[in-house]
Amino acid sequence: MNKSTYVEIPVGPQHPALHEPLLLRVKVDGEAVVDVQVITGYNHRGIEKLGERNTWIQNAYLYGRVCGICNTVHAQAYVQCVEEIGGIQAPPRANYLRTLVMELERIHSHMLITAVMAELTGFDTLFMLLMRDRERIMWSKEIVTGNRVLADYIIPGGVKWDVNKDKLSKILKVLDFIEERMKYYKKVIMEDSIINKRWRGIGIIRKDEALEYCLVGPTVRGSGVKTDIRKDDPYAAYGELDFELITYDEGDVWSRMMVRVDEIFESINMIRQIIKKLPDGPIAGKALPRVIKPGEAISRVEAPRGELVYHIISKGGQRPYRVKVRTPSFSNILNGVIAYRNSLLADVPVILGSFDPCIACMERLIVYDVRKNVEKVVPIRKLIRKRVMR
Amino acid sequence: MPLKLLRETISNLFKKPITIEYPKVLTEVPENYRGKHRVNYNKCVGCSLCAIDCPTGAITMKVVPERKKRYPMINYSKCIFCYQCVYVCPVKAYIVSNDYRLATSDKDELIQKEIKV
Repeated sequence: MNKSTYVEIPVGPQHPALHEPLLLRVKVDGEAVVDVQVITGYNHRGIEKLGERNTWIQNAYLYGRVCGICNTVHAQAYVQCVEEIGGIQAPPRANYLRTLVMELERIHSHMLITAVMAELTGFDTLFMLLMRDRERIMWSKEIVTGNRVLADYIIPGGVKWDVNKDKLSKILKVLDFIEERMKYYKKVIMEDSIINKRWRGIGIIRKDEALEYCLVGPTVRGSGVKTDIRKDDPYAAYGELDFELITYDEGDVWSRMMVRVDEIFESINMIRQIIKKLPDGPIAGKALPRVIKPGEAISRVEAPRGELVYHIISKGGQRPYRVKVRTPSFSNILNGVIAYRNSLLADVPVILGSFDPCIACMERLIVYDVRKNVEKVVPIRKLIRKRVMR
Repeated sequence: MPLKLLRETISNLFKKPITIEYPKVLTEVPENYRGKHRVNYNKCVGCSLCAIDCPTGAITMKVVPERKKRYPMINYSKCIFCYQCVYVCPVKAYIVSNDYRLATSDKDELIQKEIKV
């Protein structure tokens, strides 16, 4: 068949299946997908430029707002960099509390994407039930931090509020409830016929491809690659906690989702360990660091979606010189196009959903020309159009 | 398995709905929920730390001639309720509350205009 006879179908940017603006140009031959082109750039907010104007303290709140769902990991990555440049050390209790909030966030993020995937599959009952139970996790996050989504909890040098025994026992009760419910939902995901038909054997990424295309997080662990920043490069209190690294070998949509479901159990385990081991002592340094000495630092954390990298350059003073953010969705959404091969048009939203896409996270880019020594901002849309993906 | 999920769905028909009828029934919030906060001007020493740290610039300092000092004023339409001001205040001059009902028909109501000392 001649290439020009393929039909091009736009999925998005305003599409009922996708909750955030992203355009997939899907070339189809009948029902079969021939080629997918990802086009982004609908959600650019200029956060990195704004970060250069704000003070170090203000930025801890600004970078929590890069992504709503994973706001504490963004704050943690930013704060880690600042602490490294400034030579500040957070007290052990603060490290444990940070880990507690980050794990609560991982549970609710994974429950959210499992619910959304159930909805994309057409299984609305599971969606409703999961979202109902997820609210309890949000509530326990609210107990610790004071807000159900945007924690604003982590600041350079420690955390803002302390916990007491009453709060911790409330969280433990919620965890018992969630663990029991998730065991049931795991059984549903493993045995239900609708889910098995829509998720198994679809959107396959082989192990070698996953490594070659630099995919991160549960997406790459679903292809059998053992990588997790919490294990590889422990930060906060992860080095002192005992948890398993979960991988599935199939590489399809189902295995990517099962990694997330199993990680919920690991997170529940970790929170129980944290509550048991929580050390006494101060939760923050005596004074907030308002001036940071010149320097440069890179920090990595494991966001619910994968590896999150922050690179901060300080030239001294009250403001950072440059804050570079590389979010996990950036590599997962753009390089994940290999998963659409040999799939049907109806599977496209399901495959995209299995990457846990977070569009708000990924819309930023600056190109640095080493030879000419110039820096220029290039819209992602322009770069993507140059790519030919097959 | 499908039958078990069906059983749960049917049992939910006879349970109390999880949805809260908001204006009639208020949502329960924990005690440390970050709601509307205000300044206790009798305690405030006018150090401006809250205004310097505010991420959105919602706090402005205004001179009160009788007292010859600058005091913070909060613009609630800009405020993101991160409570950095509450955290950083050296004399704990901020009065916190759980009030999350900030909706208003007039935007000017959200902007503090005068300081009652």
